[in-house]
Amino acid sequence: MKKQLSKTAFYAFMLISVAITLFPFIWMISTSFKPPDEIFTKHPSLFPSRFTLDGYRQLFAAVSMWTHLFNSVIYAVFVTILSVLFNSMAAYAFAKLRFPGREKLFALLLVTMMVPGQVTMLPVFLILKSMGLLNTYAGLIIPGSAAVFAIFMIRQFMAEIPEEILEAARIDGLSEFSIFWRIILPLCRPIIATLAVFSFIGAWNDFLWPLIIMLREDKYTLPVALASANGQYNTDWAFLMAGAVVVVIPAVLIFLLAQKHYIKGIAAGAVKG
Amino acid sequence: MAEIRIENLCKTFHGASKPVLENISFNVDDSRFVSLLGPSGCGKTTLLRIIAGLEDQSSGKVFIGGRDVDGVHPRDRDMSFVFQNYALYPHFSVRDNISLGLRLRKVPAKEIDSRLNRISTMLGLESLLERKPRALSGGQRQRVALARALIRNPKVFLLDEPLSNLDAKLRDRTRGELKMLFRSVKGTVVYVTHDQVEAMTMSDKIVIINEGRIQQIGSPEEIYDKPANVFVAAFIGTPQINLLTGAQLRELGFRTLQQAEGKDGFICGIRPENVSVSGEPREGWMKGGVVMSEPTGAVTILTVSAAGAELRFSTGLKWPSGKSDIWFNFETERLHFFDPAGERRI
Repeated sequence: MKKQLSKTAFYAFMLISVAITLFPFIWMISTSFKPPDEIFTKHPSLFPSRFTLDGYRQLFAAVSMWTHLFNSVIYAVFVTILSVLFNSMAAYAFAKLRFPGREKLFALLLVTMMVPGQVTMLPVFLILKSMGLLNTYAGLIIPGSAAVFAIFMIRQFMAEIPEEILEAARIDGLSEFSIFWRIILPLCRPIIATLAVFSFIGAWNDFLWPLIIMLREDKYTLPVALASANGQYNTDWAFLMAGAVVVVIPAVLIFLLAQKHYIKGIAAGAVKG
Repeated sequence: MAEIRIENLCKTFHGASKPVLENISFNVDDSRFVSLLGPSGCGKTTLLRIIAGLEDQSSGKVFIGGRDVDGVHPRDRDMSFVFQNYALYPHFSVRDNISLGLRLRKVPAKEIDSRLNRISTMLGLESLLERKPRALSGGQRQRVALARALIRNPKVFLLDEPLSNLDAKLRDRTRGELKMLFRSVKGTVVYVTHDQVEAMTMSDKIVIINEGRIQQIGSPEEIYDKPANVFVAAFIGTPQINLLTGAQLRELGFRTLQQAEGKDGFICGIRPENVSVSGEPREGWMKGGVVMSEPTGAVTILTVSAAGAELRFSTGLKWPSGKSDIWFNFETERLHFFDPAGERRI
């Protein structure tokens, strides 16, 4: 009886938590389907009484939105691919290759994690400017394609792979790069999937860096474009919320697709095997 | 052909003060089975890894089939290595695990298939080819590791305690199977183990290593019957050999030739089975008290206290429990004598 009660209380608590978490999302989606008079009413309702797609029509009628969407896709996809590649290669070197100064170099790398990103933003901006990379995809993507935290995570995961497997591969005749590509990477799939999701969603939602580096309007990513559409005197909420929904959908999809590996990756290290 | 020659091999790990291997030299003749035997940490696995090229020696030479393999990559040494933990590729099927080495050497697919069939039939793996290693038992994994070593037809097989992760019963059976297997493929085998039973039963020749130095090289019979020093005598044989000083022997009332000549400084070894025992007093025999008797079935191990020493005898007699007084005698021609430091046989 007591057990039953505590279980009920637990589920009630969970339900309330879920409702609180989901409410802004539901509000966003609902607003995106509302006509203007329902948005600016004194007694707003949770669900639109008159359902309209005007917000979405306007969003995609603006030709520039497709450009911004394209920019966002380029940014997120390339940051994900490059960061998976570079971070895992660096992690492999730190985990499995023997070279002088390895531990010191790795410690130095970890120390840089203490430096907040905002501190390096300006110097990086100036470097990119002097290289003529402002308003270019390269300038947008390159700084995000290596992350110390990711290197650290993957390295910890790789360190668990027994050395003998690499030696067996060496005897079988795999080259050092093939060992990385065909043995190590597949074995690291859970952690790499996790970090890929992190970097995709991170780049997709990123606001500050694209805002700084992409000064021309046709180079805006979606979040930057949406923010600039938020006018000083009036705001078209349906338009803005439709944009927000479009921004959120890929993140949710990616998460659902990678969920299986993602959970494994987060649990990795906690549970051996 | 594929003999292995090790010459004056030394190894000191980076930053270590003590060498792990000192001046190791021995030969493995073609198609012979040689065991490297020693306690854990004696350097035997390091030695095997140097032969494989997984580790570099500090000095000395390794020849495989007459070729100096210094600087030769492990894949080009024409050898297979079986790891203690098998080191199978977890994300490959058994088939891919076994055939990877051949595929990388650009062996035609037909040839790979026929070899795979032969090897997997030989090792009873036919029904497991599509499984992943995690779906296999320890014994099956071990056979996959062996199949991976065998399929390339290398000149040399290097095995690092391949049986140590199996349970006792399976280990007993696999021991014999391995011996037959390598005899049938005429492989030159270097086999690392810390288990004297494995070394004794499987090898043509045993190299006993302790603290980085070779203690003795010889056939299993030589090692057992003529141990070169006290370490070898004590390391080989269960229960352990009894070691007595000259003074203790005299106290027991046992006279040896040396003592008759007035020499007393030596260590005498007598194996537990080279002792005659009796429950009744016998003329000229020594007397002791049974501390413990352990029947193992065929023989009984007796722990006997005599003249301040604790001795172990193994006898075919059924020893009545509770009976304490025992009379015993050593088989004089089976005594081993070593110098007082225990380093040399005399």
